[in-house]
Amino acid sequence: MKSVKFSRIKNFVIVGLVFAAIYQTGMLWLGDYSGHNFFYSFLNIQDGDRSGKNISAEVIDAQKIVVGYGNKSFNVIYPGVMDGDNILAKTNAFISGVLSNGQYVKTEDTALDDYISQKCVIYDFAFNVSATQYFIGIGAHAGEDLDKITEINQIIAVPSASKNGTSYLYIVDAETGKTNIYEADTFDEAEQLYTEIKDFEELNIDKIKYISTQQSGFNIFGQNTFVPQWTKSKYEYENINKVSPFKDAGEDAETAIESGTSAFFENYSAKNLTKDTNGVYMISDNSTVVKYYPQGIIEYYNYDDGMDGKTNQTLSTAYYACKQFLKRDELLNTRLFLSDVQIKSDGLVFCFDYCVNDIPVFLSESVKESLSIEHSAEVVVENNTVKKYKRYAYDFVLSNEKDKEVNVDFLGAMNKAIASTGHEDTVNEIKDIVLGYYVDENEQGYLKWFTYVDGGIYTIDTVDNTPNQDAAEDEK
Amino acid sequence: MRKFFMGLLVGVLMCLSSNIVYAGSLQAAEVNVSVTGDLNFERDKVSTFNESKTISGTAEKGTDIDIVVYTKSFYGRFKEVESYSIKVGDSNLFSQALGLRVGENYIEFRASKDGLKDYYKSVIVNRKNKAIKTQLENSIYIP
Repeated sequence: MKSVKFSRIKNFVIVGLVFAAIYQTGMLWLGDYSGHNFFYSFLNIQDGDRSGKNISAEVIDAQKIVVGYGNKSFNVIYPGVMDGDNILAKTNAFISGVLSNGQYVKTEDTALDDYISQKCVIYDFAFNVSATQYFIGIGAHAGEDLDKITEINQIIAVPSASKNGTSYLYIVDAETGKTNIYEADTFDEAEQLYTEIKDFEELNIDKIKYISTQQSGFNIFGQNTFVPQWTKSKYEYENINKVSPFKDAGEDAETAIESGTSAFFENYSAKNLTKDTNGVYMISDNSTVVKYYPQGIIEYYNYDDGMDGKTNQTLSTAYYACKQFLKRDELLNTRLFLSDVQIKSDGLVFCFDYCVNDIPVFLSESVKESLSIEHSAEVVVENNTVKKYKRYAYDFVLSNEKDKEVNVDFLGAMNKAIASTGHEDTVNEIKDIVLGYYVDENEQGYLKWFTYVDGGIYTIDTVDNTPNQDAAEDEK
Repeated sequence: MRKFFMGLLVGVLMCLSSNIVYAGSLQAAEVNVSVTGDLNFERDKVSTFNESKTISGTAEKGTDIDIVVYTKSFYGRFKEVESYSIKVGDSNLFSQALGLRVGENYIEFRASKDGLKDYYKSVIVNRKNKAIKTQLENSIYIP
């Protein structure tokens, strides 16, 4: 009896293996799976392989996250696409919780002052995000209430201060300018977010504090923005140093570059490495080319179409592919944040910029022009596969010496920018003013003010060496 | 004698009947200032747990703004701990974050411009110890 039973089990296993073999052979003939073993599908089901078969969605990251403490004081961070910021994870969980378990309250004219008067987390997006795509990425179930919103440019999460209170979620519709309000009774994620905000304030006590231009009554700003402000007459800071990832390679640069870019290739042994007379390294296999230019640019091209040329790409699936790809860049050591998304003929382009110590890095116009880049990194995604990648491949590190200072505050910078327009009496709108590191061909980067006035960007020095006129008159 | 007294009387009458026109200064207009930010002067005294408060608002270009923060010693003497001077520029805006000490901070705000009457306000900001706030936040809520 036992032997009969064993024989039957053996037969079932054999039949199963035969079917699996037929299936695998079919896949092998019809697509490029030469690098896959029998268990490939099971082991890589979460990875989103280049063929685009496993299509996952990713929530679109905000360009800026502003954390408010309920006392008109804020911290601003630029969420890294590779980092796991706690505040980001807790806020995403809160948003998902409110949308899934809470209820829609109403739509009203935006009353930002009220929304940000409590402890809150504000997501400022670099572009208007499709609401449907955002909800898919965050894992919220689509419903009648969520259909009210078309595009999002700001989200404000306000967790309840008490265990039995109500949490609120404010989603600003970019198209109408109105705010859709959702509420939810207390839930774990709300409590966790509230605690995280308190902890965040303690952890960032030495970081620059920001104020809201709307709360301060600054109507010259076309929309609310957050500007840095300090209590002292000057702000002391560390400059940043621009460091090549191959600075210590010396004569082994070729080996270092090959090793540093190996993660872009699937089949290690089939690569070909060359160096031309201009010092440009090129590593390639059948479908991938990676180039490293001595000016510090790294480029990646993927000519592989995948199993079938057409997959259903959306903003969130493309962003997932983009982020998965960036994780493979082993040379990327400085935080990148999402600064724009563009639709071009060759695909969806995700644009990123660097930030150090939550201060963004701005490339000079001369650097951008000489390297033909608008942003520090650009990723082109087509059919949920990264086709092109270009990055200004430097690490930006703090100098560890706080021997630089800023003695021009944001108002001083604004006044100078307005004066620079040449028509100070008719300045219509100031969109934003940002304190950022300015990087040109030099090896150090220093802080400057970047002021967006009437459609133009004015770069203002952060140091004013003009003698104080009142002090000079007193000396006389 | 009679002529003397008549002359004296006429002189006194002339003095008393003179219209005394004195060029007293016209009541000058006050500097145009609007304080719109975090710390305003709606109340004489406010309390806070924050380490700083921001005074911000709008004023005409060229307005000089002086802000002084005092604390009071045990003996009742005022001691200046912070002072700020701002000249309002093309933006017509001013903003200054003020560092606060634990306890009472006496803040004086003065805006001045040539030919105009100074705008003067003051407020007392009582900064409380943050430990009290933490205690309040962590206290057990009984519905």
